[in-house]
Amino acid sequence: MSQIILLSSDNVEMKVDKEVAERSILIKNMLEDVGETPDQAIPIPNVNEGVLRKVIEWCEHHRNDPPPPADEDSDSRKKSTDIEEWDQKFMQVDQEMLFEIILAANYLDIKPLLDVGCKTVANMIKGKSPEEIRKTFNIQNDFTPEEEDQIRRENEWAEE
Amino acid sequence: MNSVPPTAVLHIGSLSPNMGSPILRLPVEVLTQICSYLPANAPTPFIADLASICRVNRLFHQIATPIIYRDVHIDYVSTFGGASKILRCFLDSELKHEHSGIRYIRSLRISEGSPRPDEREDYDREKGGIREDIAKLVLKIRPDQLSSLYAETADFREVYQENLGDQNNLKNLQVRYRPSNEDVPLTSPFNYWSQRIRHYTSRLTDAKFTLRLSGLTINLDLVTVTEIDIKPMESGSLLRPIRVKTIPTLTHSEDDAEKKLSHIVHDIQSLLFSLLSAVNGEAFYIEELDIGFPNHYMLEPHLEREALTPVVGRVRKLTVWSPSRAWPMMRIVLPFTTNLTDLRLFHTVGQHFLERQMEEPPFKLKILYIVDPESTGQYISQKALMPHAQTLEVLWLESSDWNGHTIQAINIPLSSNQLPNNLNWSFLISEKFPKLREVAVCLDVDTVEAGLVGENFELLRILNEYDFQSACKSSINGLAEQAFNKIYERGTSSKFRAIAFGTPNRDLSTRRRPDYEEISIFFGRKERDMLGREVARCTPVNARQARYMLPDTVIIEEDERSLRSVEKWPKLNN
Repeated sequence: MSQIILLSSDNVEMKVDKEVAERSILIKNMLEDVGETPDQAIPIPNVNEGVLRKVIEWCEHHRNDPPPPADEDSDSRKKSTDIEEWDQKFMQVDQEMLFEIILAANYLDIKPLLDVGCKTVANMIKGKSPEEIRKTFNIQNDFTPEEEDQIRRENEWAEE
Repeated sequence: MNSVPPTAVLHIGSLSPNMGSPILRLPVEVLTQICSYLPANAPTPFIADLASICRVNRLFHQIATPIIYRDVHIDYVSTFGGASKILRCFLDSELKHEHSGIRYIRSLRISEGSPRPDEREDYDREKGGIREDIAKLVLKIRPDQLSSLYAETADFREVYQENLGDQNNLKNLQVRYRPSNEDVPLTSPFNYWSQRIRHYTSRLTDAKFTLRLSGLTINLDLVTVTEIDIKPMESGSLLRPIRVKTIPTLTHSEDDAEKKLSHIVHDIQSLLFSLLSAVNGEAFYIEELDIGFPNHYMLEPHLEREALTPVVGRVRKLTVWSPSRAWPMMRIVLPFTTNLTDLRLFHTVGQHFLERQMEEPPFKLKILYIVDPESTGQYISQKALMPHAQTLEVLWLESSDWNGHTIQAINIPLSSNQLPNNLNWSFLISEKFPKLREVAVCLDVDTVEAGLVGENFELLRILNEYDFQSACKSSINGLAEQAFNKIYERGTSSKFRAIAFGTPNRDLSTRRRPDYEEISIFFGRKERDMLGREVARCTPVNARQARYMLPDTVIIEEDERSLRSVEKWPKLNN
């Protein structure tokens, strides 16, 4: 099994199976462009050691997953927020790490991991009032009172 | 690759308040993806998640609003209070600015209900008229904004046509008419009809545009159009398919029958001509024309035959109900159907009908489908079938009552008084029909058991299942296996895959399936038994599975949809 070396943004080298690293479309395309397995470390400048280890852990566990369906916009993928058990446990991290993982998955182009991350956040939003959402994610309300009134009226139909 | 490592932005003071929120570091497209997991277009309280997030801050408002309002359904059918909450919000007079969701609507569906709530007696008049409210919203839709519009309405023109700007991005227009008091004037049905359809057809020059009008109550004089479906052009084709369904209007008295029959013909002719003018010229064909005739007209109409040719010549598939009762009409129409490949006749009564109608047909059929629930005789002779022998792929001859005469079995000796032209099985399975692959007939048990099928047959359907159940010694499955054994032994019909028993057609008078409840389709395969001998085994499948396994099969059940989603079905070796 051929292995490659990834270099995190804080200069830590990590050896991984090529097959595992290729869960990332970015890395996969990069390796295809190079042609042969490189000896040198591949720099991943946007991802630090802690996050990269986490992402590799996910890729290891999902190394044998079938490729995602071709039509990316299929509605069925988007509608369900069900997450398999292992992934749920995997995503039990603090918010800081959760969003770092999502950013890394987005950057490295690992769609299934990005999906799991987005679903996790969506599940954190579900059933909450606007104020509760702000509190959960530490977001500040930047509406003027007039805007707030307008938007409340606009969406009144959606509330019971 | 040269963006700043995220650790650099983690150490934040209080310069910008939202910098302290890790979620806001996510790019907009990821935030959009997160919101897309919250159900839009869902009943409350589920939609409330998106409504909540859009009230969180300006950024989330920008992201969530287009998702919430992309597909709007204004539904009076399932509301009891007679008010659509979402429409009330759109038109709320307390709003300082226009509702910010309106400009994001791409797909608008409006179901008025029948009767519309404000037409009911208990409606609170102070709420104002619903039709007026809908018109107010439609007026706010910007030009080119909509890609899809579904309107269930009593008056499309007044509510939609006059308030909606040009919609050049519209790809899908469905208008479902609600019955209303406004009756179509009978004095000039054709004028009314063609005016009406022109309202919708300005977009038809766009090859991808779909127009579907259903629930129409447009009464041509004796024909009611129930459905018109103008489909987008298929890739590689320069012709646009049109489907038209009609049923006879039976509200007229029975006197002056001759005049009426000529009116029916005139109506259909008018309808087709209006379609012709509606699609602006030549680029269409009639994928399917479905015509129903009333039962009691037998007279010959006086028609200008030349007028029929430009339209009738475009028909590829013609479905006719009660054609033999309208045989004078058929005799006039059929000579001009030069592109007809698919002819389906339901409720055909009268012997040798096609022989009389199709002595020298201008068309060559791939599919001939005759359902004759009352017949006790033959439908069609060798002579009438011969012009189509080289092209015929599917032959379906069904009657509810099999008496051994519909198809002459091979091993029944011909009696002296039978016509030499009688259709018999050895004729059908001969090399005269090189393309015939799907045959549905009534047949005797012995012929089936002997495995006598044509060289290119793929599917044989036995319509007289009842006779089989009582006549065959073991099970139907056993009989099918025996037939396959013979077929494999003979080795001349390498494409043959399945034998089916039963019909999906319902009895036309009772709307029930005659005699048999279930259709059984048996796929055959070769297997080795314990002694290593090759034997035939059969696997029963349902219609969905069968259509999947024989994708070219024209008819299994008319209502069956495409079967891509079928994943589990028995694995078969051919």
